[in-house]
Amino acid sequence: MSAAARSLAPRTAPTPSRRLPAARPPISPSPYPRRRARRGTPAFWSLTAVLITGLVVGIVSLSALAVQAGFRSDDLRDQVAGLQQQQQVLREQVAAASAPSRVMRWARGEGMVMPDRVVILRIPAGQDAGA
Amino acid sequence: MTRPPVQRLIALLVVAIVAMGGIVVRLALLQVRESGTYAELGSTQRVRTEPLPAVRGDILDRDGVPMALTLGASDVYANPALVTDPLGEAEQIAPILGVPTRTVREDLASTGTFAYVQRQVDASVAAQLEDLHLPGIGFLPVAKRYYPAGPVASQVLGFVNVDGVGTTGLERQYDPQMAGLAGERTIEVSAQGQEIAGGKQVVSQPQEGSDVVLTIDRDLQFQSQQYLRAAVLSNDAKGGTIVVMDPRTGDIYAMATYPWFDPNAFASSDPSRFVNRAVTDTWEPGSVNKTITAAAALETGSVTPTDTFHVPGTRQVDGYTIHDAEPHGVETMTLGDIIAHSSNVGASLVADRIGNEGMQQMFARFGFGSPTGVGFPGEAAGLMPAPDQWTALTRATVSFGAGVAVTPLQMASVYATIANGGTWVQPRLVDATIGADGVRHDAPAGATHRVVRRSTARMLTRMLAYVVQDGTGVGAQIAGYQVAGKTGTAKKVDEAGRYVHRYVASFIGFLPARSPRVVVAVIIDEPATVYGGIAAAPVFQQVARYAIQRLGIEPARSVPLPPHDLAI
Repeated sequence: MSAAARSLAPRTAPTPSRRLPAARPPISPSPYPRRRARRGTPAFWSLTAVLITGLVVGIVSLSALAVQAGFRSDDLRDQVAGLQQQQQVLREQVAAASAPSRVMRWARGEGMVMPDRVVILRIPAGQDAGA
Repeated sequence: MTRPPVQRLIALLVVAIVAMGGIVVRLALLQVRESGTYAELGSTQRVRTEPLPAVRGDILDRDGVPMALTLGASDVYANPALVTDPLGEAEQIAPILGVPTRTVREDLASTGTFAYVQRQVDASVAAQLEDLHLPGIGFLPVAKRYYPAGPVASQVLGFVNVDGVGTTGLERQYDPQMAGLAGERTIEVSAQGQEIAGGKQVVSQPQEGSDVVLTIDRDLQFQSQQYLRAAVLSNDAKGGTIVVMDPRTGDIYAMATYPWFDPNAFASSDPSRFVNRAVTDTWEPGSVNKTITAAAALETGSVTPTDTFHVPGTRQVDGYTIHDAEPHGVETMTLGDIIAHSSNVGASLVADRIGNEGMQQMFARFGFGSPTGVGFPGEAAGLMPAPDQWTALTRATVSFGAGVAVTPLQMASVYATIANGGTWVQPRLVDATIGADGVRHDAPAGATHRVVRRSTARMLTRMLAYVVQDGTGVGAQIAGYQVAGKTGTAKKVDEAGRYVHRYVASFIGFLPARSPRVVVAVIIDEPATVYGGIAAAPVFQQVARYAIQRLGIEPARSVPLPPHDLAI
């Protein structure tokens, strides 16, 4: 049924079988005092802010320290590698310098010769002369 | 307000549920079923694993002096696709590497994205190249083997190839112990490939290889090589070998072969020089073998030191003529005379008294036909005629060192056995290994077995001292020390097994005769002066004299000469 048709329909009295709803009771103020929602005190908010700030700063600092330690670790590793390389070079130089062919050339240059004859001298054991 | 039709709402709900379901299913697939794949994909982009090569152990001489070291080096490579000016870069690189510009330019202009410019470049040279910051040039960290004494004991040490693997000599024999175990380092890298500081890092440390301590004395080895080269050159010979060992322990102090090579530049050396002929090559020993004949004669009791033989200058055996080096009439000789004057005919007469079985047993006990077990790759066993093939001629020729083949080390061991009172000691080249933890693990002492009685060894020593005092070995005398030894001159055989007029001269001896401390074997290949007493004995004298100084060997009382009939 359309709205127009509905408006043209005869208005009839409500049937007796249909009961009217009970009247809504009047609104009255609560007998209990209204409780206000709890709000933090300024001290609470200050403490919270300090804690959060501290945590953030701490985390950032730790992260920065970790990164710094990483860089330091890398530097130390490079330093170790450099020192190891230096040690190797020095070891190589020592080994090359003590090579028998080089020593022989040097000795010949200084006028040294191989002995023609081997002589082993026996030194008699000394006697304790006493004090 | 009007309410939307229920059907539309239901349709929308279904579409939303299907869409959400699809997303959930896809998420489940990604997060559950394919999670590993994507995690791995992410890792490959973010994580890099670098090998950490193990440092190869050093080779040290008996005093701890390094003979082979491992140094850091770099492989220089090019990515030709990134090289902008091949000629210009080659002109900068070539002088630093010491290679022709053309070669470098060819590498830089090659196709592909990778080409080695030079491998195993010294760290200092690589640093010079890095400072140039040339586009397309890169460096790979590698290890380089360095032999500080160059050709000293080169055939004994061997060398490692460019991949760091022992290829010859002790480098090959002890490669498993010296190589160690490579480690690796896994790191997180940025999109640019740079390591993220503080990123994840997993390091598996490499396990360093063990050091190998040799029985070789570097200085004695060097000096032996000097004398050997001088002898080969002065005798216009083809080559030579020297073995110096301690008869009491079997420790080899020196083992030299000429011509040698420099293991620092093995790639440019003749491969025939890589061979350690003291261990891997055999030769017919000639008269130095007569000592074994004398040992068999004394040990079996077939001949006593006072027995005499009537020795002619020549003798017929199975249709072949055996003759001494110098023609002579029939002479009366003791066993000592036969050894001292190196009579082939006399040795064959002695062998006849011993018989085949006695001779064969004695050669076997001295280790002929078996490797010594010195622990060197490719050691030869030598050649001995099979027992069932021995004839009278075999017995005669073997008695003076023809028809058998031994390595110089085997023959040196024979004389070491006599010097050691008749007990054979297995020769050793390695004294110990030192693990990465620095703990020294001594190599086991060489195996021993008695070959002849002590009294036999003493009598043989007296005979060998007689050789040096009045026989063919006078060139080996050292003032103040009694030397015992034997000369050898052996004909060589050609490819077809026929004797040719080329000789190997040798002298093997020890000192002091009464309490031997060192055995020296000298073998000169094809000298102009063929006799061992002329070509090899003087080299023995030089090497032994140096050994006296180096090892601090004191003189000892002389042993008496053996009974002899020939006029001295």
